[in-house]
Amino acid sequence: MRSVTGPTTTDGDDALLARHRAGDALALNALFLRHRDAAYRVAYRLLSHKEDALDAVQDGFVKAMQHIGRFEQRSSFKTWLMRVVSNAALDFGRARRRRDQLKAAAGGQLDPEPPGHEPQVMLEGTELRERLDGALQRLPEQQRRTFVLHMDGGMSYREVAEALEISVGTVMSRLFYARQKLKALLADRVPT
Amino acid sequence: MTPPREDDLPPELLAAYADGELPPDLAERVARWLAADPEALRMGDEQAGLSPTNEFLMDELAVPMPTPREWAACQAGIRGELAKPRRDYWGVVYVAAGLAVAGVLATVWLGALNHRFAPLALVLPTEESDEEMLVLASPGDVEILSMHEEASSLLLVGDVPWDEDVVLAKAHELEYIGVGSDADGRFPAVPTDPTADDAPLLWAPAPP
Repeated sequence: MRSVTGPTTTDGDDALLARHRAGDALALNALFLRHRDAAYRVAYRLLSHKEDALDAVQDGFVKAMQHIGRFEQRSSFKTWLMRVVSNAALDFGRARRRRDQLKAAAGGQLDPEPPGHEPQVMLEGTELRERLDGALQRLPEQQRRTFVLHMDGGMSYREVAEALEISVGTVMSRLFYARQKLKALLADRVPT
Repeated sequence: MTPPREDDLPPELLAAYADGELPPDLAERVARWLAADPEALRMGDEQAGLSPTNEFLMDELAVPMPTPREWAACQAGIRGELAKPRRDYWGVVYVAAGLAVAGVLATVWLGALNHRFAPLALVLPTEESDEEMLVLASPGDVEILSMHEEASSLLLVGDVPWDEDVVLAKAHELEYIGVGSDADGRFPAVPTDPTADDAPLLWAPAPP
């Protein structure tokens, strides 16, 4: 029986990629619908901005598909996509910091926040989320990325290791020390 | 035989234990360690507090998700980007670099017939970088004789597809070795100071 291409498709990622290469436009939709939430959560946690996170998801998805040859199915499509999306998010974050530094150095005013960045939108989140987002920005980049891929990307240690091309032991170590630092930064705000 | 001491386990295992990522035998050892060591238990609780297995934490930290309209715009953007024909800039660079090298070799070969030589490639500091570059040729030195059809659409007719010198290598990537003059004295020794403005490194025949 032919499977349905859509959010409920039973086709695996590899089968969808093969259909995408064969020109089936619906296969790309199915891949997007399957992975967009996790990709967005990762990008959002790395950037703390809704619009930037969406841009990172779009940019990451495009790059993941354009450079699918580098993926070569050595890991799952999900780990490949998360690697590219988190890269894109970190690039967006670096570019934003550079812009802010340049404007600050020039003594100029920062541009008005684009839609999705306004303070009232940020305040919609919980206080704990805002504090965690702030604390995450103080972690070394690779610890932050590892933490976010595991927590928000829903990835196992093995999947994070494959996405970042590091060992499972390194994933474990980064998570342990990231959480120790976060716990110290968040004081007693983390519920157990 | 003495069984392994649980408190010899590395503390990083507490992260994997909290996440349920340990194999059963190792998880049992960590559980015994936690039962016997209050300090390990405290660290283990800290790890569990920031683990995705903490459902309360995950509820608290849920991120604001995009609206259906925002998702649709994102998806349309992806489709639009993937539908664009891709420009293979590296292909152009490879073709141009290959042509430049071929031009140098042809010039050397032709000039060798005349036994006349002139400096072609120089080690020059660039304006944008503190590193010295081995400049192979300037855009005016390159004439495009042929190009793959897919790359040709990137060019204006007759123009070289870049504004900068063709750089073969950075100075620190090179090993400078002495080159003496030939029997007729046509090859001056190569200076070993790569920062000199006019230090000749490669010599090619001058046009007749």
